[in-house]
Amino acid sequence: MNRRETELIARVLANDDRQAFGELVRQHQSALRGFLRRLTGGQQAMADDLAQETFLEAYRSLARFHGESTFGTWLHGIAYNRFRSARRRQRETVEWTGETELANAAAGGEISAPAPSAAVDLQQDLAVALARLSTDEQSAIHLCYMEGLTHEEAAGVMGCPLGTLKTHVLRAKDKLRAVLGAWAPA
Amino acid sequence: MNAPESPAPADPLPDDARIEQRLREASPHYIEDGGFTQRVLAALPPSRRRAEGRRRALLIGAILLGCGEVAVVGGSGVPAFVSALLERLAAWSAFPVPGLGAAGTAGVLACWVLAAAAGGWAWARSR
Repeated sequence: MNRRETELIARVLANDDRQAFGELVRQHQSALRGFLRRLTGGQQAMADDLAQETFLEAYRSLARFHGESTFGTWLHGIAYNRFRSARRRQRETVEWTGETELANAAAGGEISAPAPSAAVDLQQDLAVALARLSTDEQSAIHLCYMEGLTHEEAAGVMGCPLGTLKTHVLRAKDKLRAVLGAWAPA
Repeated sequence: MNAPESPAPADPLPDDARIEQRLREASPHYIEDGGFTQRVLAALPPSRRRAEGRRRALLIGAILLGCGEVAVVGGSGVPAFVSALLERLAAWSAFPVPGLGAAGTAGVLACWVLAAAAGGWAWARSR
């Protein structure tokens, strides 16, 4: 955790400094909303609601954050739990309307730069393949490869043993390999 | 699925390292704030400072009310009230059951000390 972040957290705790908390939200909103958008299958409104709940819970529980992990990792842990609770409550699966949504979900909402057709196709197929993974597998892949967390940190976020996390990653990659087999060189 | 008939040679999936590389490249792009932070800040519970201010005002109000009550009940002011209280305590000290009056007096005094300490603590905490 960087010094600036530590300072902001201290200001929130000592003086209930909302401007400092706002800065923390601004710093982490993109990563957190991206993570939740992926978990919710690109449902932006739901993801943003969960992200808001996550920040509110973080605000209430900030005194319990002792810096064992980075602040971002801690936030992802709250977000992941929030998502799981919401999913348990709803007990419904994500309905897909088309591959564009899947691609958007994988790309965090948008594909920004124009790319060669084959690369775009591959990106879309990757999105479809990712959407077919279980929530745990998707989360593990997202945290380890897209957020750049270590396996230990990702296991901490997901609240599972390190071995389980590694299993999720391996299974996910196996499934991706199978689904994307058509892209293998001849 | 969009698998091409002849995949681009630059993307030799499903090689493990290539998959990992692709996953890293698929990192979500930066999501613009778009008022999200303001929505979060607006949804925060009331400021702890404001709540403390209310608590402080309540404490001061209670003290003033107590002082007013003492002045009114004491008739000719606080000194009269205190002397009446001391007389009452003295009467308790003369209670027929040995020690009970003294214990009562000590209890009342202890309550006073505790109340004063609690008030002081609450005051210091609210500052």
